Amino acid sequence: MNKTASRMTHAVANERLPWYVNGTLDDEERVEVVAHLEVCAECREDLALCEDMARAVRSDGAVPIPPAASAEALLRHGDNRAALRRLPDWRIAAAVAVVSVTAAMALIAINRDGAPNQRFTATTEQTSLATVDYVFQLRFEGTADDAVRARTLEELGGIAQAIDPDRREYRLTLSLAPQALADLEARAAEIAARPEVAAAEIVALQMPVR
Amino acid sequence: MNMRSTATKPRRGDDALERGLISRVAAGDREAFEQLFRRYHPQLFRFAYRLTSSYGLAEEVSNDVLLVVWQDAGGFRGDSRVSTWIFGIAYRCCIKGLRRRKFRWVPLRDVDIIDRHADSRVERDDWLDRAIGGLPAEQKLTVLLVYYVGLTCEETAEVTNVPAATVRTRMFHARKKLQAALEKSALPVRDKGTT
Repeated sequence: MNKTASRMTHAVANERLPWYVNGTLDDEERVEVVAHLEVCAECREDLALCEDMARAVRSDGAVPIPPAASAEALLRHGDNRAALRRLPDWRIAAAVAVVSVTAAMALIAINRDGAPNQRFTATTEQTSLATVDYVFQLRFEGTADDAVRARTLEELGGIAQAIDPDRREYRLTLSLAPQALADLEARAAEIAARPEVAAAEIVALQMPVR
Repeated sequence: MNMRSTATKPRRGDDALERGLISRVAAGDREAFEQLFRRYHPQLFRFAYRLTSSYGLAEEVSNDVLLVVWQDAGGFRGDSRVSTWIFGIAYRCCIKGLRRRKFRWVPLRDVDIIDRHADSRVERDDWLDRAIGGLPAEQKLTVLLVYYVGLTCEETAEVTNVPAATVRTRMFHARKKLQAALEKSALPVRDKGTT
């Protein structure tokens, strides 16, 4: 085998490693990959990482428990949506406009400084969405090291994003049933009451505009 | 909120059974749909959650996909596995949902901060899992389709509507990114040559 052919063999075998790991190569390809692995330390190292990635993805360790659901409830929901699709176009357009406007109002209200806003409260209470993603911002105390921060974020759940590691500030997105601003502020106060947290506030929500 | 799961998922050998279920669903058989629902709902939810990082959107996507299966089962041509067809629908629903929600992706560098002191295999898996969550959308989706759903290269290409060479390139770059991030982390390095 000349040098060029050898390099090609390495490249082809290396790019097949993910499918060697997931068991979908055909027999001929599998034999080729196995033979290459016997002589290529680099591919053996890459194979180890592919196996780790596959195991991590299959473990479901970071995925929350799926919601309880039934096929029957879904089909009932589908029937309702089909009925909505049968509405005249102008009624659908009107419904879309209402949802869009209320979502925008909610975003404006929650981003305002000052007292709780009744308009926001009404909007979230009236929505028919199963969950809304609420965004909290929190700042840790200077004494909270990486391990403490990691544990706190794990306990709080949701999706954490470091927005300013130097100032120990994080943004935390929690998917919750729609609720009033007062309840969200109470939840932020609960978070802020933890000794390792210096401050916490509700800053925004993410709502689909259909 | 987090929990390890032992939920089973459809295996490749189940395709004949699932084709039978799809035929019955196409004829309006609710009991057959119930069986497909039980097989796919948890898996679709986890797939969508990994892709979108949103509980609400994952729930919406998994429901939307199964509704499409109920409504369009008659359109299943049978030239791919049932799971490939269903995850093709899931892919399109996720992309549509992401565009609507304008979701952000957690950058890989932030993953470092979350768990820098992991030292066991389970913690290493969790770290990798989060790191995969921080990959660019196309790479993350490809990794999920290959390792989580178990698609071939060609099936992944079909679902994502790109050439097979692009699928291989995305998998390669995803692996290299994770490798670079692992080297920067304090995680224990796995022995070279371990298979």
